Amino acid sequence: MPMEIESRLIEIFSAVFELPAEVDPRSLDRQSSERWDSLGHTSLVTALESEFEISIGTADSLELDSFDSAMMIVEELLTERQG
Amino acid sequence: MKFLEARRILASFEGGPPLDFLLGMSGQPEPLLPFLQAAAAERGFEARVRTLPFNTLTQTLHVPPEDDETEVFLLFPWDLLPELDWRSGFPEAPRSLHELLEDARAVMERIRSRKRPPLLYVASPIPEVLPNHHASRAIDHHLRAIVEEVGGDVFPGDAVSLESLFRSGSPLASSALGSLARGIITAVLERRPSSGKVLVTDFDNTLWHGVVGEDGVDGLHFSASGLGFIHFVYQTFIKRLKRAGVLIAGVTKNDPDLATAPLEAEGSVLVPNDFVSILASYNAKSSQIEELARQLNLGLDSFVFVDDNPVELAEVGKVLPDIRLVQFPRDAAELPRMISELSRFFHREELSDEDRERTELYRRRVAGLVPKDVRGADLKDFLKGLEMRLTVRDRSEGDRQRAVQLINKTNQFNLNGIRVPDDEVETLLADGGRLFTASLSDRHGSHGEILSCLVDGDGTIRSLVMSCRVFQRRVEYAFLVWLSDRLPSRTRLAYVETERNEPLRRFLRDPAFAAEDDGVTLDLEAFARAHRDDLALFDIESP
Repeated sequence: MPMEIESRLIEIFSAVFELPAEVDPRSLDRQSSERWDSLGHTSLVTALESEFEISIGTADSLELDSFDSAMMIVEELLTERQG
Repeated sequence: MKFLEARRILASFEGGPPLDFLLGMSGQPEPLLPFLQAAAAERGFEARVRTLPFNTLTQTLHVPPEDDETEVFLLFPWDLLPELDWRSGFPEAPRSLHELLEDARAVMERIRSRKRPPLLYVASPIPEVLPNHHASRAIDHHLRAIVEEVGGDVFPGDAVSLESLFRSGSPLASSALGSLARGIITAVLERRPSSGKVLVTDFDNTLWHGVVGEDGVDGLHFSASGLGFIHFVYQTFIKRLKRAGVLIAGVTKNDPDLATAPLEAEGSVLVPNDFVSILASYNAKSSQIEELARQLNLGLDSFVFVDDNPVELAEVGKVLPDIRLVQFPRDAAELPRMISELSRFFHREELSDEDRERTELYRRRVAGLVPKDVRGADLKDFLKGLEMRLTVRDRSEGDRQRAVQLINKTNQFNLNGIRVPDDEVETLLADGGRLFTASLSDRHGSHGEILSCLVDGDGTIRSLVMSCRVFQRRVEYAFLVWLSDRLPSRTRLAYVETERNEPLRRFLRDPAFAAEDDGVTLDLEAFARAHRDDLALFDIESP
């Protein structure tokens, strides 16, 4: 399951931030990426919600600032939904 | 449609014609864009979307629309009534329900005045801004009604995410982006020119449950019970469309006698006479429909083809890409979707007598169609045999509704494509202008009023249109010969080339016409000398 989530997240990050092939999306974080501005952040949250059929609240959205944090938030919300 | 599915649709899309439009919405449109691209790609188009800067919808509505730009609006309750914007909190001094609704109607009127754009409305939960709980709830119902009255599509409130609205200004729920995008693309595509004129329907498992060639007429179901119910409703719907002037044609891979037998059986809502044509053969359905379009002289973009079989739909769609395809539903749950799609395509603002009699008029056209290989002297013999009667009327006074309707609806044989509102016609007539019409009948029956000609006070022909139903009858020649005694010998025509008036352009190749900088001049005497014998093809009745 985490592997499958990770590969989908890689696709989503690459698409939303239009990353060149040589950039590993897993290395991305909000502070160091120019493309991760407020509009990019909105598009990322929307893409994650759409793809995983989850709803990301404001608190989680504020914490979402890297690939790793996205992975964690998605996993948590999916677990909550199943639980 | 989820995000990555949308990406995959786009990745596998090989390109198509551009679909340019303005998406008017007040919130952040960006999250919707990849879904719009994908929804357009699904329909074979490359979406090129112009969006508005955040929160500028109201300002945009105060600026006239761009001439050639298609617009579609995605509205929320707060676009109609700013008080309902959750982000503004509750107003200190609420207004009355009446005042609120007046404002909402005014906003809708402003939107409608922009070339009547398609509207989608998301019925978001709204803040209860009135002290009266019930009155507050009523706002929601009234706003939906205001949108639906003008033909807008209403999406349920769960297409909105207040969380997202508060967080980023984007009001759309991520789960609804796919369906909203498809709705928007459908609305834009249906906005394109040419509304529906012809419904071509399959027979087996569409007009009835069962296959007539296998089950026999007695084994079919088309009455209001059991397996037949969905087909009964479809037949009654087709009957209504026919009464509204839609031409109904049948296409089926069958022997002709066998194909029509169920329509003659007791209990069938539709009868053979409801159809302008029934095409029953074992040829590909695409070739049968193409031949029908030729006979009716109507563009395939005004056709819808309904079939239960996706293979047949695909075959027709591949060969005739302009035709609209609708799959007949497998179960009753899908029936409203199909009816709604067809109703939208065949939408009519108002009905004329001509609309009601259209099936009969076109059937006569097909019956009196000039065979493909008939030309020259043979053509004149053929036309003489039709026993045509041309009735010319001066409509400068009295009822001119059909004459004006013809000017404003005809595209192919049209002098300039300019639409002339009735009040403009009235002014022109008051200034000494004349309005003539011609009706045609032949041994097959009446074709109704098929030609309209508007002449201004200076003797310039401002509008000249003729219905495509009577092409190749020499009506236009006979009419101008008749007119030659009533206009100056050198008459100016306000000709403008349009995308679709090729038949008129061909007519202007006659040597009596001469092109000038701002139109065309006609030597009526020379024209009358050359075409006097066309007048003889008709029994003329005139004022």
